[in-house]
Amino acid sequence: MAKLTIPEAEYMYRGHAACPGCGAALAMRLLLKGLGPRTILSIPACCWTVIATPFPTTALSVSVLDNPIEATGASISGLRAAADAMHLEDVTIVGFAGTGERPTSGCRRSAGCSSAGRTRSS
Amino acid sequence: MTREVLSGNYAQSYAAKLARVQVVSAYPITPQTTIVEKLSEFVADGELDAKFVEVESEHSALQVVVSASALGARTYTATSSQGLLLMHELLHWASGMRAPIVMGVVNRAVAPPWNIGADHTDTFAQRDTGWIQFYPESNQEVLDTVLMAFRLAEAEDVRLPVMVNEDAFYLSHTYEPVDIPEQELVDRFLPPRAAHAVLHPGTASRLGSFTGPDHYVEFRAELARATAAVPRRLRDVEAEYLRLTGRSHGGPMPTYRTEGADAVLVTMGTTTTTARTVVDELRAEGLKVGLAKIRVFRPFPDEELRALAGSVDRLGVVDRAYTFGSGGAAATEARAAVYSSPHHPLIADFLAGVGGRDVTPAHVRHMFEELLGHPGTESRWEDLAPAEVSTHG
Repeated sequence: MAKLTIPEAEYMYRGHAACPGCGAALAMRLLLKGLGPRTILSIPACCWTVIATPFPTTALSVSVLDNPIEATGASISGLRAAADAMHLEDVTIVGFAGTGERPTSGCRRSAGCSSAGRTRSS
Repeated sequence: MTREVLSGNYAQSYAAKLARVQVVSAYPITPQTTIVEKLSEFVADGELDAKFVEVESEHSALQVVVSASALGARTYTATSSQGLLLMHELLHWASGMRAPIVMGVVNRAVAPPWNIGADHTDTFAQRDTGWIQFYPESNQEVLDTVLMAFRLAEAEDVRLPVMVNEDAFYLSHTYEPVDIPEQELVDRFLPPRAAHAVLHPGTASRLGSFTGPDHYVEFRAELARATAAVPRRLRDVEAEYLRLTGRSHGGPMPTYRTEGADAVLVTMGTTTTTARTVVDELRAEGLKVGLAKIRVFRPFPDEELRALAGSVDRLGVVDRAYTFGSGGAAATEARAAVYSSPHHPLIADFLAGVGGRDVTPAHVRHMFEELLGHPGTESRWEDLAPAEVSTHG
């Protein structure tokens, strides 16, 4: 039987701004363990914007780009294009979109982007 | 240097190629489409080593280059009219994140009714988005300005996005001889983009972010300071371009034959070329008239206009766009700029060339006659159809 392992490395620190018991904070922490240190998150307006904590602090050790709602698909396409054009090796570009982006206004673009195999989207 | 016969749109494409842009996003709209079409050919033919990203809307087109710019790439896109209006939200993101994007905008009328003629409503409606705005009058000026725009946008004390605007068809689809500088010379003028204030993968870095009133105010004040640095930085950039190419386009507001003038018309874009010939004719007839061109509309050339106002009693501002409830869009700005001048010239407000309506030498002559006669301060719509064919019947 395969043994499930979770990397010990942490990319989300204590002091994040999620409410006590929030599943979204846990999801982000665990996903980042899988995605690794050279992750670039593109986050539209949603709870994860806040969970990462306000300027001038951050609870994440990875790169974060904020984008307006319904633009996450385009944002990760732009990041991927730039990473390729600039020969940035081993970066993992992830759209981390919560309520508002995926099920409603931005579903079409995010889904179209990931189904085209251009980049990953959470 | 080579000389080619290019449309204004191709002048944009050639300049973006010379700037060695790394990411281009593209969504078609008349009369812009040929700009990105030509760039797609350059990429397909291997003449330009860039990622060409086709998207499903202008909103996405701008987000693609905003995000690419956040990683440090040099980026370019182009649009027009309705497409620019759809970008409005992202225009604020680009300036707020201090993304040095250069965007070609073909100035086209806004619907309804549909009209693809030259009009400045599309870009004037974006004046509060924090973008620098240029209004060239020739295809050579378009090419030179796009190259200068990258230098200006990426200057450390500026770091702002720039629109290089073209009057629809008068520039976008009109072919003129254009001198194209050698790549080696452009490389000296425009080295690779310096990677300051960008995301560094593998480190804690964030662009955009969120904050309360305790820091937000400083972000806006920084944006204001960066915009205020533009006139000084543009002078340096233009001086260096002049040294390398022998060409300059006169800073934020070049003037023509304003010495001892009784009346000066203030124009933008292609209307300037027509008006210049009329100034020569009227000067030959003994009338003391001159011309000033608003080349940079954002930031507005307050200082230059105040200096001009000090020596002229009558200014006429020619607008291709109307600010409803106020007046000609550039005229209202001119009045605000001149208010703090010790000398207050009369400022008349002419609407001409709206929606691609021809602005002929006869119209310009008429505007000068009005200006030298008894001009009021109300907006005057040049060449307006008589009431029986108006939209209200």
